[in-house]
Amino acid sequence: MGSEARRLDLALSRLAFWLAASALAAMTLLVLNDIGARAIETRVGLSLDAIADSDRARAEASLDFGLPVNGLGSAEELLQPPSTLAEGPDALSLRLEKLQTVDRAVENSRHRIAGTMVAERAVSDSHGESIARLYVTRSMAGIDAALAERDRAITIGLSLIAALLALLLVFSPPWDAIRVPAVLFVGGVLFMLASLGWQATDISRQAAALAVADTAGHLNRALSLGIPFDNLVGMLDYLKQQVASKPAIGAIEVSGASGVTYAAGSDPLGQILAKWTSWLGLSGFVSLGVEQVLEEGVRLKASVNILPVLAEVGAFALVAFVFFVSGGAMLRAIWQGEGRSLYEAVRSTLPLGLFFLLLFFCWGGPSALSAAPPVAQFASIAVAFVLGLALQRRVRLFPLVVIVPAGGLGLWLDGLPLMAASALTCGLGFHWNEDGAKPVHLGAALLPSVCFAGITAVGFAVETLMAKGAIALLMVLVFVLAEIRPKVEASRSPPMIAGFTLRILLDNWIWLCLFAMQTAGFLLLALAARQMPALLFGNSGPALYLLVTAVLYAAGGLLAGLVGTWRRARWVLFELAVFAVALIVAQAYAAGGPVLVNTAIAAVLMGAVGRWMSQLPFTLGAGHFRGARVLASGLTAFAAAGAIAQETAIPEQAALPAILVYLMMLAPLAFTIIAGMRIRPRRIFSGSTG
Amino acid sequence: MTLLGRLIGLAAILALSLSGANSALAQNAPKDKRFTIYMAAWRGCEEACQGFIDYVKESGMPADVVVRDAKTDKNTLNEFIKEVKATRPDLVVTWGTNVTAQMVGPYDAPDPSKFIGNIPSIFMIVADPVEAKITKSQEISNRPFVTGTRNRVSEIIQLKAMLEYRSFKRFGIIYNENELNSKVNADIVKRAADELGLDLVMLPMPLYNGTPRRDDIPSLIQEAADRGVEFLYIGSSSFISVNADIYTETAVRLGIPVASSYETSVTESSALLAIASKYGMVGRLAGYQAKRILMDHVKPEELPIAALDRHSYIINMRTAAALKLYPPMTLLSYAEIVNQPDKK
Repeated sequence: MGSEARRLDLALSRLAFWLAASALAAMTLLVLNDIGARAIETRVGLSLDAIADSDRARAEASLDFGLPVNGLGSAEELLQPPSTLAEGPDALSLRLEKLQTVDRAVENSRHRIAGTMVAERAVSDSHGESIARLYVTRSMAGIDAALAERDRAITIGLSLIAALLALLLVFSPPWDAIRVPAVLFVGGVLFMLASLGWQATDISRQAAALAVADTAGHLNRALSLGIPFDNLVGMLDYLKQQVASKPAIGAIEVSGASGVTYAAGSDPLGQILAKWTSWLGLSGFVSLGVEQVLEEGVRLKASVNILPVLAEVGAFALVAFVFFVSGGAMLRAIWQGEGRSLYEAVRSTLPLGLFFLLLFFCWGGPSALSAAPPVAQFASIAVAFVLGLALQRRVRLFPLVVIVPAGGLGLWLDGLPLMAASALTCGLGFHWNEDGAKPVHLGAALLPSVCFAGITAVGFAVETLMAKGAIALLMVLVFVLAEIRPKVEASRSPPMIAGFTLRILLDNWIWLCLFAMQTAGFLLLALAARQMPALLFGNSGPALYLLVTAVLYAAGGLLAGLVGTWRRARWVLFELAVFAVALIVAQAYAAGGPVLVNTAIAAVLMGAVGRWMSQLPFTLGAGHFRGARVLASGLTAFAAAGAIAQETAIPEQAALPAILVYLMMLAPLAFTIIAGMRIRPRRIFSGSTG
Repeated sequence: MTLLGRLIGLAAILALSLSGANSALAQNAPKDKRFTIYMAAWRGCEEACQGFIDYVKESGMPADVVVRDAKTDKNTLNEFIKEVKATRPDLVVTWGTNVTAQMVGPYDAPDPSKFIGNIPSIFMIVADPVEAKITKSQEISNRPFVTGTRNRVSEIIQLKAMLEYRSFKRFGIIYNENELNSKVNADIVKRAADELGLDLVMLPMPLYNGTPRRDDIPSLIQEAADRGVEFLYIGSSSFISVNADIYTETAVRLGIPVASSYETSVTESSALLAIASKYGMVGRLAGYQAKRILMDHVKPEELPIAALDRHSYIINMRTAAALKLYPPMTLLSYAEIVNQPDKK
């Protein structure tokens, strides 16, 4: 019977694994596909807006010259897109309609009508009255067909992954069985990213072709006026102006028959990609260049500006990475060793998961939980969490007396008391075990927040009651786990936990330095998140960016572990990493570098710093629980940084002080490290596991 | 309440009702009414006049435009005034300084009865309405029945346009001290030059018994060349405008480009460039002013003298080729090219 019960238990465990893995894969691909489809539509819209604005300016200039609106030799005829762009599934067309009654109230708009997207613009005469209406129409047949193809491919891919995983789970343990489906999943994500990138490039290429046609028109006009190509005046300024005013073009080059060449713009990445696609024989699929031959053998070549496309694909890849890492971490945390440590994993992960979810609810534009100012929400989370840590196992009844009424009050009224009660519960349920603070648990703990960010990114609004219900449910689970812990593993509980927080505040100044440093570091992440453009992910952008940096932080911690047990190397690397973080972020703010990219790189280094922090001489004194203490301090710092970031009006102004604090805190730590090195290092490490 | 009180109350109610009805009638009247606009042209119904008529048609204004052509004969204008006074159109549109000055009259005229008087009027193609005493300022007429359009482009825009064509440090202006507007304009150009950090060489025409001579123009241009002038600018001067051919041809011969505030200096003579308001557009703008008065019931005195938002950059390609001073590509993308030489 015992054997049969175990077999049934294993079968149920594998079924649960299959369901969880399949659901995660489906959610990732579907969310990514939805975000991608909307981003593509946004890109088409923006491209069409740029074309319509340019055409409107040309229409007004043509009408000022005295051209009629319609008919032979009209402005409408002049503005027609080149014939190559007027056909096919992405066809562009233009119509100019003379208004019967001059009207100032014609509005600019863009909308989708029956498989097309139409941008409408009012064309004004030279004193500002609307005299015509311009319609630029783009067929969406190509986009819609690609979307349908992608939907079909996702359905087939997901079915294949689920079936293969089910088959492999019959023969292998979960963590072995998932390897091949995981490779398939990654392949599927890459296929999707390639598909989105290809579509985005195609849209940019169309805009670039139109821009080149416009430039070619100007050059042809100059040549037809009898100006010799070699005598064209101000070509460099003109080409620079063209590149600056036409974002679809990365670089442009005009060469005459005599060999005289003018060039502007630089697009090294685009040129490298063009070479690669040519070398791989993919030029027919992804064309990154536009070329036109003008009068007198003049050649005009332009490269499509590929950087925005790559940035977009990179953003999608990061979102996929977040889903993959947090989902994979959850599966690994729960099912490693055939569910042997299920309880351990849940107990380590759940309070962290609830804590992150609380923070990300605060980040999600208007919070779904509370109408209180964001700073009050973040501050209440931080304070309640610290209180929970302090009260852990000391006063058994008090938390219950606080949590139940506060939770109840928060459920029916504003959610702030519920948030505070949940944070208090997180503190109470915090797992004081070095083994419980591994990066894999951090990754797994991010999953509820990732799901929350994912569903808001695809346009679902999280209802207040739903959010409160989810938080309350998790809070009860964490509380129950915290309460039953002593009965299960009383022997592994730390003996001096309750006094830990007070000691931090009163005696152990070095922990305050660490806390300040962590707060400054997380503040940099939060400030960067606030600068996330709304173009791709809307209001979910900041939360998604913060999730990406959190995953990168966890990944940094994981990588830091590769240094092994060479302790002095860790100390040196710790200091170097702190310097590198300060320099990289300072470069972004002081020298105009890409803030989002630099901060993401800094997040990896901060993760490594966090990991090495727990292995420095002064933290080693905290014994077996030092990693958990660094983590607890980091979580509090994360909430505190959120509060500061929400109160900061201009992110750039707070960034440099945060960098300075991050760097200044290194000084006492470095001093302590040096002291630790000089004063009997062997004795200090004698009790350490490294 | 006494009987007297009741009567007063009744009278007040009646008065209020009547005034309401009156105002309602006043509001409704223009809807059914067909307006008559009297257009007094100087030399036929050219582009501005045609632009006005087109605008009236396109805007759906219920108006008939009666065009009268003075055929450049000032004596005809008195007949126009008589006709206007007799027929009392809803609006009079005057073309050019001569027509406007004679029909609308100066704001300080001792005998206003000589002019069209209290009939709303709009002037167009008047080079300097302040100088002609038609309005008290360039922005608003300060006259109860007069408003208009402005077609001159400001001097600072003209200079910036010249700089856009070709970078230069020193330029010259030849002006006629005998014409008040020319003298005033030269001072305005000087201030604009100072603002842009340019050197201006000011060359007044020599006067003989108060009159300038055409034959002095080449020697003044030679003097400008000798003083290192890189560009010449024709501001406001009827004398220079009339003699634009000899002015611009001499300048081209000496290798100096000429920018002009007169479109005709570029289209009909050899000036290199002009920033001008297209007459057709100015006519449409006058049409818009007419709509504001007739349809929107805005009083002329409250209507600012309107100017175009956009101007035309006109380049004489034949001159550019002769000077080997081709327009920069940045200009070619929007400039209007005239006198295009035949391709070889």
